[in-house]
Amino acid sequence: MKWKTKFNRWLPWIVSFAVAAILLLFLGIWPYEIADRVSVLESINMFSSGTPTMRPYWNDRILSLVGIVLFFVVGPVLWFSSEDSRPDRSGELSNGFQPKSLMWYLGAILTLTGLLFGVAGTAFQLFHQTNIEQSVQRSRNADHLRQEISTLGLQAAELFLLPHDRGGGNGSFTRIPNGNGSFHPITLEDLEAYQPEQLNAGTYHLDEVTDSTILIYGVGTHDGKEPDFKNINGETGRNQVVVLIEPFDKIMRFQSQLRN
Amino acid sequence: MNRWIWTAVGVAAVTGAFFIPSQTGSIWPSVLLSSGTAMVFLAVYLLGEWKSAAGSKKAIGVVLLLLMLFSVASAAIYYRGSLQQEQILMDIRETIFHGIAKTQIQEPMLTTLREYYYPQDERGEQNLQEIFTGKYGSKIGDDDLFQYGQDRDDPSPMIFVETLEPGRIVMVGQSPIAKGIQEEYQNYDGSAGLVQTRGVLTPEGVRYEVEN
Repeated sequence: MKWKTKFNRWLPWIVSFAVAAILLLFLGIWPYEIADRVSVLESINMFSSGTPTMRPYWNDRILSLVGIVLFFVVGPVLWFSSEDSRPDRSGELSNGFQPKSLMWYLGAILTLTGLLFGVAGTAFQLFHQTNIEQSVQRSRNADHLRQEISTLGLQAAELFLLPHDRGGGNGSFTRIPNGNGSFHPITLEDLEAYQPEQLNAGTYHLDEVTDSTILIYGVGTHDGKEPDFKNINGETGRNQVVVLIEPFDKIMRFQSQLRN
Repeated sequence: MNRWIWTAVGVAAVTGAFFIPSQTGSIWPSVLLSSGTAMVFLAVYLLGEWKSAAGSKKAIGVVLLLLMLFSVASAAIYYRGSLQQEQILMDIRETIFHGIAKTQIQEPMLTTLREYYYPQDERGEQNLQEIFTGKYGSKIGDDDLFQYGQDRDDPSPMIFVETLEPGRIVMVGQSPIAKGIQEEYQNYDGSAGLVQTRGVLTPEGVRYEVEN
């Protein structure tokens, strides 16, 4: 059989597929994409007010129902029922082209659009969700790092303020009592909250300990914004959060210029 | 069966299934139930018509099977993404609450502790209550609400001054919306099950804990 005859036989399929591919770009009625969009809106409402709006979103509901009806009922039934099942190809023209009815084209275009939405939507969502998951893990790590470093920082300020007879530095970070009349500069081990096995967001480091200020660095378990950023602990590109503890001034201040 | 009868039955079944769940709140129950019905309909239709199919009609049948397969996969992935999105936003809200509440409770307490041990003004030695009231008394409103004039529409943490004694100050942080661990937990303002934290200031220092 000549390739042209073969081509002509599949021409209606090719035309339908091409139209479906164009419709994919302009037809926004894939029901799961619509439901996802409405869910995002509702989640944002829950985030800001704590309660769902209970709005019915009628336009989106009707659009998604129309999508389900067209892609999974009308399209498949029209296409399948309009296809000629005669095995003798008696309806075929001499060049191999087999004329199809309007219903055949309508059914084929709807079904193939649905199939393309299914394939493209699945692939896109898988890619998109993997990216989102990575970015969420990074920002969650940064949030937890901030939480843990705040706990350490506020406790360091408290230790600074407490008098020696209560185990504190009596207004100094360099005179933490050892219990035998001698003193040492503050270390993270002096803080009750510093339990490395319970601090999951990263590792913490003290730096620039002076009599009235300290810097606490937190280096996360995930990458930060700048891949070439040099972290305090020698690593590269990790999340990093830094707080300046200054109990005689603002108590605690995040240092944005040292973060990643 | 005639194609128009099949179409009418399919449209009626899918539309009926769509409107079974409540039409307020999440759209997903309607979409999933209606899609499930459509898949069952399509399977029944194909089984019923398969015997009479031949040649290219079988090829269409295979395309329809692929359509069903990818639609189920697409629905599952989008639905999972929606649930994840919701959970992420809830987690972010809880993290924000804890970050703000911790700072809003502990900073005034540490400032009070600083004044207690290192008095800066001419009034000399004062107890914790006198210092706190002198610095923050104007910020304590009705119902013991501290610093910010939050109401039920404001999702920021509500900070209450629960106890104001010479040697002990207790502040409670409560989220107006975020759910805590125990649903039946009685919150400071009479609500139930919301996230709550507590800071206690004494001359020994600050104790801060998550209560729910």
